[in-house]
Amino acid sequence: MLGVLVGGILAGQLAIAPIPPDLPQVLSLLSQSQPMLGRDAVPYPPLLRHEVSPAGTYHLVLTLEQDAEGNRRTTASLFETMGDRCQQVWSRPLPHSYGPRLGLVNDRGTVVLLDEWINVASPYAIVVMGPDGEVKAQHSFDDIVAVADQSRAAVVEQAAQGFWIAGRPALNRSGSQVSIPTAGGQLTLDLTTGDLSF
Amino acid sequence: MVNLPLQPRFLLVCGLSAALVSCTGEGGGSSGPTRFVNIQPIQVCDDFGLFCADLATFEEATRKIWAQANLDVSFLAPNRLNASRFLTIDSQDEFAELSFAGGAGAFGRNPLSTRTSGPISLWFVESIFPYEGFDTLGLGWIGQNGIVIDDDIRTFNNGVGRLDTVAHEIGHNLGLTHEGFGAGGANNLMTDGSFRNSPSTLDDITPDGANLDRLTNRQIEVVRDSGFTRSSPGLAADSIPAAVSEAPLLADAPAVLSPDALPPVTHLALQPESAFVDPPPPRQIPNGPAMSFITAALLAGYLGWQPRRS
Repeated sequence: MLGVLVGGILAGQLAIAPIPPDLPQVLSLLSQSQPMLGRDAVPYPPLLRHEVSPAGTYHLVLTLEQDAEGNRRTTASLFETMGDRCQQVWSRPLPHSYGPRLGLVNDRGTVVLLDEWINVASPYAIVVMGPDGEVKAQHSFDDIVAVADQSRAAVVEQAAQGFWIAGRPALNRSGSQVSIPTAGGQLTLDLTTGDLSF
Repeated sequence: MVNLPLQPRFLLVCGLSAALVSCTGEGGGSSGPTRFVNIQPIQVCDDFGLFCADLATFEEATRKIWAQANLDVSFLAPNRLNASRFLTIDSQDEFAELSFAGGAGAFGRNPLSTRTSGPISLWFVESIFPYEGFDTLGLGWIGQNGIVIDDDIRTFNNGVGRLDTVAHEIGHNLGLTHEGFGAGGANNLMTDGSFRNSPSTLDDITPDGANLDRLTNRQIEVVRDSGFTRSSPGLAADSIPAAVSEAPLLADAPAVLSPDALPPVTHLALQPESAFVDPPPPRQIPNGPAMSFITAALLAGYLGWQPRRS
């Protein structure tokens, strides 16, 4: 009797003791599920950006392209409105990596390119191109810091878009100047001379 | 009054102030004793070893960025992985295979590396997730071992280079995310690449110049608590990773591996991948039946009841 009881107890325990042969593999797979992934990625600028001068005389078109080495580059093209059609005035690849952050054009065909798409202290922080497409003036981030007479950190800290721009740039009524909010004030770019003031 | 500093209100204000200071703001650069982390760079090449991705560690920038957490980042001698299919990382599964498949030392990993400790594996490849509408410059598991870097970070920004991608991905392995622990500002190291300001020179990395790639106090606390950081330099870990003893690395390797006794990692990298395939798992031995007190008593009684043989 006692032997039967002991045997039953042992048999019961033995009945639940064996581990299904595939269980460890399942557990192993579950324990090796992939962790979360972080990535450092830079989105491309829009394939096509279009800016119009205040009176609609000129159209600036920025198109994203890929150079021979596979790098993303932007080509700027200026078109003039002539009656019911547009005539291309000039078109040229820009030196910026990926492209500029912002572009403006006035009714004289002067183009202003601001900051770089990739949030860096750029040598092309401000580029002014004349109606013929030639670069009339170029200012680096260092030039802006010098004009603002603040530290690099202070200028960057107050930026709202990109590396140094704190608000929406605007052409004045005559189209001769651009005001750019930065570093707690207004940076003024004279489109005739290319000079900066703060 | 002499007792003024001990009044409850004063102590409460002091306590709240201390709590606020510790919970907010950017790191001040002093975070206790120096902690150490090792990085194992791995250069991915084609099957013949003729065409390789560039090794773009940006070591100086990486070390300066992590110095604000008093974290000493050391780069080991690079390994090489000859496997054409990994020159382009097309999917997360492919990266997972590189990071976690095989035994110790597989795919160029350091033999001491595990999923959560040891040197951090840092592969350099030709491209990551191409054709997705953006350039993926780096990938890193959050809180686990494995980083892959697109060697285009070397030519980024008209050849200036993307100085902080390696440091950013190390932050992921150390447990940081794009939004957590105070990240999200344009000047924080862990902010998403779409919004983060990136330095063009060492002089713009915190605490200098434009003061970029900063870390919050909370981020610093998290990384210093990571299993990848140690209290002493060198490869000898605070606690030896369990994976080291799981599989022999080389036929003539010593039975008990100590960091000093390990063969040079560059030699390991030249072993074919098949040398690192996991050995067959040990056969599972089911646990024997547990013997409770009652069972033992009954068994003892049963055995004691047996008649003696004459």
